[in-house]
Amino acid sequence: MHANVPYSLTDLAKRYRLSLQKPQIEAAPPIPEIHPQAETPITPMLLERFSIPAVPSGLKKLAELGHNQLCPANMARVSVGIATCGKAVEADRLLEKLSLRRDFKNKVFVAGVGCLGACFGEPLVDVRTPEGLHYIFGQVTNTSVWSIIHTALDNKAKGMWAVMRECKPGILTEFDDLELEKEINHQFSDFISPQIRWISGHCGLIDPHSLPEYVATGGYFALTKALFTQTPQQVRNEIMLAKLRGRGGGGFLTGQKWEKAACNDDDIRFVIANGDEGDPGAYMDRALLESDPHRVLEGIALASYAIGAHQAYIFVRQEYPLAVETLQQAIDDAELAGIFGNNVLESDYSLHVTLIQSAGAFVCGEETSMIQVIRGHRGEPKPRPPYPAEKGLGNHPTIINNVETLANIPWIVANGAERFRTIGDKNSFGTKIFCLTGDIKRTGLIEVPLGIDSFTVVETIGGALPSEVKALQIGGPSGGIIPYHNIPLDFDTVSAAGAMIGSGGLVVLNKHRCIVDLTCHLISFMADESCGKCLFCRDGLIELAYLLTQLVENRGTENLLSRVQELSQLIAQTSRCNLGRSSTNSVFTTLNYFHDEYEKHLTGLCPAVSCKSMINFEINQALCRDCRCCYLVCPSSAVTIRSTNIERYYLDNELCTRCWACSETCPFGCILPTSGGEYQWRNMST
Amino acid sequence: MAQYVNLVIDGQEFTPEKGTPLMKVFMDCEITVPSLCYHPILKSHSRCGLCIIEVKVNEAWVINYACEMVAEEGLKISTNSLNIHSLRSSTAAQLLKRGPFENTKTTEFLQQLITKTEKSNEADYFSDHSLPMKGCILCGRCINVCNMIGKHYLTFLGRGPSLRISFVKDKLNEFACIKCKACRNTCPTGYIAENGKETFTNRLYRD
Repeated sequence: MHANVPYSLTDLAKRYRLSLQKPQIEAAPPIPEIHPQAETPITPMLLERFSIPAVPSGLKKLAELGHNQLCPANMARVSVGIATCGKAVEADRLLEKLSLRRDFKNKVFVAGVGCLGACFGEPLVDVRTPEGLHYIFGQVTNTSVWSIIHTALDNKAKGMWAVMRECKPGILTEFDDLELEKEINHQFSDFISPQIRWISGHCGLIDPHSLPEYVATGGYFALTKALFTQTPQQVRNEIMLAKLRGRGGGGFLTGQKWEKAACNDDDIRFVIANGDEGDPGAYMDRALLESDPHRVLEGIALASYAIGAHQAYIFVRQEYPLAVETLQQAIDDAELAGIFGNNVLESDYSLHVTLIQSAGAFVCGEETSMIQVIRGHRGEPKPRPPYPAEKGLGNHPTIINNVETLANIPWIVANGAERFRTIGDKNSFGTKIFCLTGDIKRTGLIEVPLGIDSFTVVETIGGALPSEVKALQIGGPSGGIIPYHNIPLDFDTVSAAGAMIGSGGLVVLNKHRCIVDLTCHLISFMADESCGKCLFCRDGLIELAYLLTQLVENRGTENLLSRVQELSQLIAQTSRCNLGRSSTNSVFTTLNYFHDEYEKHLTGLCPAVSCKSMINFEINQALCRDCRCCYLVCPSSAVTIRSTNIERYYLDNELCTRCWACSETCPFGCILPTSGGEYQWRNMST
Repeated sequence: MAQYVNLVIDGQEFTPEKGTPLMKVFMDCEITVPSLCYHPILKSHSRCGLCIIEVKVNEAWVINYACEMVAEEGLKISTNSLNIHSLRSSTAAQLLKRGPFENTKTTEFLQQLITKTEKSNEADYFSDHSLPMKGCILCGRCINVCNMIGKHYLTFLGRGPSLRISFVKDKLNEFACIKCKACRNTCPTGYIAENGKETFTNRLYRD
């Protein structure tokens, strides 16, 4: 060991005159969490729009908080549609991935929103830049999500379906505040342009789980206006003047129903919101409850104030788990905020709202059955009169309105009955939400003015080819099937044609849908859902479903059609509730408009080449290229290969189960079904 | 003070007390309106469909069920028009399809009401398929009487084609249903042979 070699740190420090104190590394300052902040406060503009001098301070704070989140000026906002249609294509995973991104922190605010209505384009994402431009992206995949990320971070806008601009930059309260600036994907713009989104104006723009965002769009301002500046009689007058008709199927004047309940001697009154929506194929109420639950709650509050009720119920079917969860959270939030409870918005009026789930029967959507179910009894209808508006729950006046009807109320109170009546005419004012489904390219939820012609709805919005459409099924199983022609869609014209607008289901049928088969399906549904009290609604519908099934299975006999006609009239005449009375509408309309299809089925032919027992598959040997796909794919070995050169592939129709596998697999379109040689399927490419 | 109201039934005027059940008015005035599920003491639910009558509402005849109506001022009723006879005949034929009844008097009673032949099909649902309770017309009289005496052992279960009557077991006393025979005595078709517990093999709660 040499003396001069330093062995310890102390020696080293002495040699080089270093300090041994640990250097003070300053802790990095924490990154401040920047909250979204809007440019201008929204409350003055809303107060002016609603013509009220002030709102309770709690509401004002909520509005400012929500406005900061909806229109942030210091960061971008990405809204991902996560209603049921979005969840079905895993949009909530997309939302999770985007909200956990590190480079979004403090730069991009990510939120989940409801359904914009364009269900064919899910997952839908809306990117809002601080200048007030909205870039709508549709059918987002794992690759196209990068366009969204770049648009949000660097404003490099590309790959979007449409660009919309806020008319007044920094203000977003409803769909009307946006205008379409650039249409890149014409499917989306064709779908959106003819619509007038008054009632579903918030769906797809605000977060349904967030009360502040709803208040920022003017939510609960209509309730403030009614509570503090109007009497219940004035609210009722406004609804009477607007001539609002029930949107659940009955089409009864809402104002009249309210007046009857309010002018009753009994002081205890109830409001029930009907969210049962049993029609197969209709999901308007579900979309409203999932995407904008507070609007429905505000409608309920206004209805309760108008008739003097202090307890309201919402009856939602338990098959809508997302709607139930969203609605329950909305009720809890509103109670915490002082909107429901003993002092609504710090006034003297008290209102409590309870959520009740149904147990899953179509008949329980009928008014009187619903009251029985709320009491805990079997959901069987009771005779009317007395109507629930006179004697309902517990023999007190009860008004029962559909969820969509109640969603119209805040709009009418805010904007006035005169403006409501600028759309529609005669007896059908306002807009209606339809569920457009069937053989069209663009299915989804649409809100159109009543009186719009069916050509616009089916061809412009839906994207169907006019030559391919055979019929329209309007109004669910209680509605009717009418041939496709240009008909204005309002209450009176559609009922005159034999169908009814009902709750708003609109199914488009092309030439290869068998009308008899569809009627059989609708009648079977009604037979299963009948409560069983009235003899003909129960036994008659069972027999009717059986007869129609016989017809579809090529077992129809001579007097089947006259028996079907007779039974349908008996069922409609002797039933005690509207389920039974309207259950055979599909039979009446189809016997009227499509009688030839029934007659052909009696002879064993299906003009739509669809019913399994009436079609045969044929192989066109001229186009066959010997690929053997039909032989390989047939599950019942009906296709055999013979050892000849011509007509090598033989399809035995005795063994064929009509599974369509060979027809869909053949790459050259050789195998087509025919019905009795008379009717043949057109080319498979359409 | 009893209030009396004026009614017109089949062109004749009657003045019963206000609020009397219409079926009792018919019985008092000796007008025959058939029914199977109506009982003067039990609540009726218009389940058999035989008591249909026509009521004049605003110049049009509307079909209504007599067992649910009470006497009101100004009612105009028709009980034997052609339409009513035809509907009654169809109803009786439909009821008969619910299977051969034990009580032959009921079968004869229904067969007498049939005045026209039904456009029947060779294939008939009710002869091809087995119903949950063949021989029962689901009138609900047994349930009503069991509720009225305070036992509540029977209830309707299901809806549509699967509507049936089921037995609700009493948790405390398993053998409580044997001796009363009230349901057997009110059954119009004789479906209940012994008592409710043996007959209605469906159970509301699983054992």
